[in-house]
Amino acid sequence: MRAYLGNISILIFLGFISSCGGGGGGGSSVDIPPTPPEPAPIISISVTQSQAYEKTQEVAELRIERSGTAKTLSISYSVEGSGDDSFGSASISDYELIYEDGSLVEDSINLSENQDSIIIHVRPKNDAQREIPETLTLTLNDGSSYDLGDEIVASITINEATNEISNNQLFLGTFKAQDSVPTNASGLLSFVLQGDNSKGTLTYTYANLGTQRTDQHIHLWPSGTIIHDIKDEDLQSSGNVSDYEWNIEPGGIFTNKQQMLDALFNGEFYINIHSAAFPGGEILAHLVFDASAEPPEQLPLTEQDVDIDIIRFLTQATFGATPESYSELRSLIDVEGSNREQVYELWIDQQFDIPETSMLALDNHTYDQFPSYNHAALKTESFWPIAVYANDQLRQRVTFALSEILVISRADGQVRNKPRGIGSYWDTLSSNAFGSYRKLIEDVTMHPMMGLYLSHLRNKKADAEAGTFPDENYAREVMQLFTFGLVHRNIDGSIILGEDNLPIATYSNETIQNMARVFTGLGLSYGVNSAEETIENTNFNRGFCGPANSTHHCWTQPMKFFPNQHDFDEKKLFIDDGQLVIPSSASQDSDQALMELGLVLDGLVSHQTTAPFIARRLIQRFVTSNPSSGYIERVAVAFGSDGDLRSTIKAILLDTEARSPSVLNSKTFGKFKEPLLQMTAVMRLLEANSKIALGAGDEDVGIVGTNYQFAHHFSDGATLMKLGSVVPVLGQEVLSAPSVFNFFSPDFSPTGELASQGLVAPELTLITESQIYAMFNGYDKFINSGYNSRRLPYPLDQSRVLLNTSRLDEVWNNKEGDETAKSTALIDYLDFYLNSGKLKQTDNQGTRTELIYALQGASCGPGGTTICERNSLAIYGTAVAPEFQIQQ
Amino acid sequence: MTRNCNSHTLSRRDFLKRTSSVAVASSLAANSLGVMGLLNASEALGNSNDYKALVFIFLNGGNDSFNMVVPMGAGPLRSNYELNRGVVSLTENSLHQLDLGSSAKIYGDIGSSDFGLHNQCIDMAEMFNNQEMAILCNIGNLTAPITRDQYLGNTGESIELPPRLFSHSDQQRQFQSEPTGSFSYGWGGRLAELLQSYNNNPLVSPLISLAGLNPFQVTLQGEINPYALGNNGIVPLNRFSGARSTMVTNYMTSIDTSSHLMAQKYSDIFGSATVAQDIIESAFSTAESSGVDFDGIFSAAGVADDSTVGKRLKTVAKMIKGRSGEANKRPIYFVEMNGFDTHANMLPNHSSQMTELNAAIKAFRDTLYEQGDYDNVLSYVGSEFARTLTPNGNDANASGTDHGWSGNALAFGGMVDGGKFFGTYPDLLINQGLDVGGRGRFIPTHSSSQCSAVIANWMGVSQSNISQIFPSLNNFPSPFDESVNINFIKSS
Repeated sequence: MRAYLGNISILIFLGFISSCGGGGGGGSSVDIPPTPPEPAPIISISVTQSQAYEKTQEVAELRIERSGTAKTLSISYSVEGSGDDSFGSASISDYELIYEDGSLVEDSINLSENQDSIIIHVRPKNDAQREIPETLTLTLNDGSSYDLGDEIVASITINEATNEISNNQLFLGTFKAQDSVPTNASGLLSFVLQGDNSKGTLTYTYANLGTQRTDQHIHLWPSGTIIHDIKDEDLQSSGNVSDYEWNIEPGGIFTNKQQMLDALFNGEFYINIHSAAFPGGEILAHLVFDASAEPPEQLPLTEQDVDIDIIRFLTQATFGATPESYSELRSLIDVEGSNREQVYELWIDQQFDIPETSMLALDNHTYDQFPSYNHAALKTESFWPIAVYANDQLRQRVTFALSEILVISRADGQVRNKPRGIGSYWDTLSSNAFGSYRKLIEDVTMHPMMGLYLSHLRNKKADAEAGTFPDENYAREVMQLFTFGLVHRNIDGSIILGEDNLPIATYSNETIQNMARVFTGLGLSYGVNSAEETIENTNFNRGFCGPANSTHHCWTQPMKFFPNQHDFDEKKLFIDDGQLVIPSSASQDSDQALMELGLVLDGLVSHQTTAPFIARRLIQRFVTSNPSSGYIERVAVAFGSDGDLRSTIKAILLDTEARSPSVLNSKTFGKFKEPLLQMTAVMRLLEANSKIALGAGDEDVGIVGTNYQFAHHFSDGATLMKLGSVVPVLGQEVLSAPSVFNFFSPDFSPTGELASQGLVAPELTLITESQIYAMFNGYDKFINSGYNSRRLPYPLDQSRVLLNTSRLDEVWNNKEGDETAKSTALIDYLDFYLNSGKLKQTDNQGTRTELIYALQGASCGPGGTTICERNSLAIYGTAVAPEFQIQQ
Repeated sequence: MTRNCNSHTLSRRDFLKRTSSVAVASSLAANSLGVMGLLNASEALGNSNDYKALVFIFLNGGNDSFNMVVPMGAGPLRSNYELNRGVVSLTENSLHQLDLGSSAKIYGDIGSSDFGLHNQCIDMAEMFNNQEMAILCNIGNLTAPITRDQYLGNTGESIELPPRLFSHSDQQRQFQSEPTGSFSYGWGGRLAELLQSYNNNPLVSPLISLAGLNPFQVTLQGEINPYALGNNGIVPLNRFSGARSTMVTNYMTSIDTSSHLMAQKYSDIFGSATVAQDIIESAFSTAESSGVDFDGIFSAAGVADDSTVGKRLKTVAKMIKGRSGEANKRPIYFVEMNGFDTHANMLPNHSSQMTELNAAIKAFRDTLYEQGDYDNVLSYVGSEFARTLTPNGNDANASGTDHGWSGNALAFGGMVDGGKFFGTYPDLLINQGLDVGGRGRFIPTHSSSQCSAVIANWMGVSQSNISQIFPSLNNFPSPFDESVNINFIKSS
């Protein structure tokens, strides 16, 4: 080890000191005839290159200049390290001073005759030691043959290496129980020290901490002395730690950074996490230098990586990837994908601007085409043409996600009987899909279908005399499910614990009773008279606006307040920064009631728990069931206090966690595809259709046109598709969840390894033994006979919804080679579009081999509407294959 | 969770692969024996006393059970009921009178034996009066006994409450497990683990759900997975033969531990479905050729043949009837009935719910009786909570009721000490006694875990082991103590 010199300056006084004797003091002097004094040269020093690097032998440069005489000159100098004890200080063993010709600078710096300036190099000595950046200061000293100019001090820094990524050094660690405390928590740690050894970034993740984290420190082993406190306020998030900059400031017993660096490389530091239950520390990890590990590096993507990422993106953002949507993105992205995120953002911006497709308008068109049926029985069939053909794919995909958070359901008989209200509710979600969550929640709250479903429609204020109270249904669910949930959370979704180490409830039953009073006095805005004409509604208790199959106008229009049924007294609501209290109001009109509602909705959406709560739910709908806390935080930040859904959508889809190709190697990242989305993906790729065109028909091929006025909102060839009830087949259908808790809980964790790893897989709720068989039979039916529901007045062959296999035939026919080659091409094609090519990539080729093998020898003659054996095997086989159920 | 769960998962996967081949062998055996062979075997063992099945009929959404079990007569209980229920009171003459042998225990020592069941519950009333059914009064999720003053914080004590009272999802989960914040198992799932020695059939899970996945049947160790049947039993795979069958069967088994965990789970469930299919199909064909007229009995009982809960109970009856000699001896069935969240239109909606429930219970009872299983099958009917006693409006038909706390549950079967009220019926007073919050949300006088413990004990878990399922029981007097008045099983 080298010696630490601290602030002891090394002064090197050499040469010319002898001249000091002359002229001094005026003691014994020799009379020399005075000559006119030649003006003394003035010398100065400057830095021309301030950094030296030991590893690459790059030198620092100083330049010394003089003015005046041109005689040879010897300049006295001294060098010293840093005056600050905590910084590194160069010692004589660390460097050499040399002239440009490579010769050593001796005791003085010598200028030859007529030389006005000279360059001095500071060259680091190449030693095997790890050193922090060291400062070297060179000072020109007084001399008799020259005068000192203004600039006589120059400092340079000697570094171990440059801060290029390739010079980073990696420390790794794994978290385990500290002092054998009973914990299941574990985690991983990395510390990347930059090349000059001055600082680094610390990243770690951990899971299963029994109680909330209270503290985290860097300690010295084995004494446990605290070296550094990682303060919550310095962290990006309160959960895991990512890219925390630690500049190895001296701490604990250490007084300078070199000591810190030496301890770091000696493995003497560890990080521990303290929790409420284990205040002395629950888990710890040592920082162990890993000389073998390459520092993390963003590898360039291959062309295939980019292709896969495009399909992944489309699977996340639409109802399924198609060759057209793939080509559109591929053409804009360069081969290595360096501009892919910009292109995705561009695509998202385009989607923001595409005109909105209305479900209600298409419902109405459908009812016109099938006049003999009860509209309620035709259900939300418009979903199929919208999902399969609508141009505003992202908007509709977001709408579907929102419909699984802000749930109304046809499982409720009253909702079921108001088909236009259902279409209108979908449209309410879709018109707000690219707006603010604040506006969305207001429109949802005021929608009569939500009023019907969660019973705040016709909700009266309390009547003390009659002993009645307001309905509490919506009051509860708007908090529990639509905004902030049951417990207070940090911005990254982690639960905040109270002083008793328990989660802090966001509301009490008293809050609900107060909240219920906010939603009193809402009634229908319209009704019908005896002639079935729409009229303004003046009757708070009205619940009827026309018989089945009428326009049901009132169920498509926002409710309104009936002030005499609204409770205008003071309401003490939930607590965020403070408690939201709505004061009692003297003015008691509907504007006042609306203003009050606005204040409450402001409070709900801006509540600090709402952003992470909704962020996690939305990430789960698009990308992964188990987002990291950092991902939740980034999306929550984008969501903000008003719920900016455009930013939120971009944050979800463009996050590194969504886009990193490395997640494909994970056994846990991603989500189980909702059966409904698997079905729409198959339908989009295989161009499912009936023979009833939305737009113009084509008699030559038996396609009847219906000239829908908004046919241009759909891709060419879009048709009306009615599948009938798919709940028995898929276990789900839009706006048909069993309860307001949706088809699955965001926290559902199936027993077995998923549960033991603490991972959730909400969609697996839908996968039971009976449901898996039903799903298989659903694909069998699609392939074998197609779907058909209530066809009249159309003949069966026009109304039936079938898959089109021409793309599959094209792949088969275009592939040169034998049946194995053709089968492989066909399976790889389906794998690419339906499964982001994961099957081809995976180490376990079992499924791919079986699929390819099955196709060989399968017959495929030309034949009418039936799907041939080969295509049947390919579609069924891929649609239900295990790998294809996973979206990564 | 501990790391050695990995090895459990591995063994589970191995188990599935092993049993796939067993399934093939057993279906061959079934074919060679023929249906009659199986029938004889099942009849021979059907008489065995060592078979007990639990059927948990869960009423999802919060059954307004203070309108299912209603006070009658001249006493203060009836007047409290009428005063506080207001427009949603049921008239006395619409109720079906219950014959209580002795006075029911009522909070505040009011004392009354005058009660009736909802107008639509005529058959249930008959079962009660025939001493086949017991009513478990005012039970609910409770961590420890608590008084109103303690709840309101007037005593300065800190008594732990069930987390997130009045929330559906939380109270359902707690009713099906324990009143704790974090969930690790359902009491049915844990019960199956403790009774594993009775359940030796490796091909079918002892945990059978007629309502998909549910908290009740989640096991602690994750080795026994519930099996989900469709409402009408099992539907076979269509056109599943030849190249299609080979392809799918082979690729499902090619999934290994290198695959995505969710893909592993999916192939596990497919494996479970195929392995159990033969057994269940043969149970159904055995049942259907047993001479029991399932369809006839169910259609005779009103809407039982059409309702979801009726179809589900018919399927359960067939599974029980068609069990083979190798069947699990302690199966646990989960049946759910939806639609109880009557925030609006409570009277008409609750009435149609009661119609369906009554018919389904009647048909299920008659079928079990006919097939000789009534003494072996305990049915338990409960809900996450009852509802506020006070309505949320003043229009009799449009008004609803909101989420409450305690409620009344039912148990029926040959082993039930029927014709009695267990527990303590509330006094139905507001802002005093058991009410918290002024709307008639009552503090349970017995915890739901005390009731569930009685069932677990009947199924075969000893009293000393019962806290392995219900740790909170330590906070309460033993449910098996007679003075506690909750042990609704006949003493043998």
